Amino acid sequence: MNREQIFVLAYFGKGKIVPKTFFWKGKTIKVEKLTYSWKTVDEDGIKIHFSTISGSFYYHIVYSLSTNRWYLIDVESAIV
Amino acid sequence: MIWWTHLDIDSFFASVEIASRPYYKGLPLAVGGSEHSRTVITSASYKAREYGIKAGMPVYEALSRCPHLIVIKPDMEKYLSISKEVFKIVQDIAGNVFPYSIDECFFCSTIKDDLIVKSLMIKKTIKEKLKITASCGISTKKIVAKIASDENKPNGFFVVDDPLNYIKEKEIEKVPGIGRKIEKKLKSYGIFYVKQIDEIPFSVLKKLFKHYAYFLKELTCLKINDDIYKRIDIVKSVGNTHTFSEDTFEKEKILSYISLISKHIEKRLLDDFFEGNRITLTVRYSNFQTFTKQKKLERYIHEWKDIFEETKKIFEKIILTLPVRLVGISVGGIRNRGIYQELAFNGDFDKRERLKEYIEMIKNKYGESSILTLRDLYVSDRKIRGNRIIF
Repeated sequence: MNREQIFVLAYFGKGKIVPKTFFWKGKTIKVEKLTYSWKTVDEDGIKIHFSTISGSFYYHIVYSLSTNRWYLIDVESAIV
Repeated sequence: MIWWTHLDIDSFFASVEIASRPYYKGLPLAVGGSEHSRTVITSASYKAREYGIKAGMPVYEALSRCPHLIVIKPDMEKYLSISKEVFKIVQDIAGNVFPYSIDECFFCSTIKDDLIVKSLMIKKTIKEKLKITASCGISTKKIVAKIASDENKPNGFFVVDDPLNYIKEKEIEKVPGIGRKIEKKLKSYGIFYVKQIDEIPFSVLKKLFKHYAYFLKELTCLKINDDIYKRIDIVKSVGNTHTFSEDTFEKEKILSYISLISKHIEKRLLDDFFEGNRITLTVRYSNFQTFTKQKKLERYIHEWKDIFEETKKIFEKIILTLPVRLVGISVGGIRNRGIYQELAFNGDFDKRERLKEYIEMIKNKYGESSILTLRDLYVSDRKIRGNRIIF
């Protein structure tokens, strides 16, 4: 999977991380719907994955707990 | 008396993908590789099942049955993570969880009503937290609970009070443990229901089904030990397979992939400090006819060269009658390496080990294909499927 570092405005609190807005390719993308989240662990530490929908696109973004960095993993059209 | 619940997530991988991408809800969706990769469907949504699509079917066949099928690439890390979440919910509510596979588990209680309440609560929590549904079967025998969880799927719930009569009325293909070959054989003798097995004298059953006759007989009187549904965490073999992008007759090409698979197996054996003394070669022809050839070795091996040489010996004895679709190797008779390690008295052994160490360092730094053997040049697609330990 290709990953691209992105900047994200997120809410951290009450044991939760909720991405609110992110910036990608000069655009500001507001997270309209957080559909799913899951956790994975690899040699770089724990990562929290989020499936989000903004407008007519689906975005898979990931937050690395060890580096405090956000990455965009996948984008696809949410129009069927 | 112990009551068991068998919990099974409905079309697990497909359900997780639909939960992540809700815009696919109600559409035929399957999890599998791309059409050209010749992989198979690992999970199909209930809508896709209406078109006859099921797990194990090649992707191209699924697409020919349903051209508008949505095929999503599998994300095993995601499924493992959700699986852990499911088992955690079960553990928190029921207090005991016996995982059986990535999407199935058993849990138990001595009080039937208590188990029913907990099972319903678990189903509800899974749906609320993970947005997927689970089906539950409850009985005093694990095998019956497992069959019962298939009733009223998806989101099913079924309690069996009289397990003996329940199993006797079941069709043989619904019983876990009766595979396609045994099913075909039983049906050829006119046996379609479990109760019919009871009518056959054991001596006849033994003559027809050999050691399998014991399982069939135990089934009819439900004397099956619940321990057979325990997940055994002992590694028995380590293996990998490769499906060719095009069916091939070329022996050199097949040997190149045997070499590549051997290297993958070596890496996994080294990672877990294992070695084995049994080699199994699996070959699948273009018509899906599959056969295996096995060889017991006099010594334990773990190096790719040994795995390759032994597999090559088996392969060279095979006369290929059709183009090959898939080739696989498995190293069995696994034991822990270490205390059995041969003593390195000769200089050659030391040199070989050092060379291997340097090759690994180069690969770690510059990537897997940075240093290759001449045989590797035949290999165009380096992806090897089944990167897991076979239990």
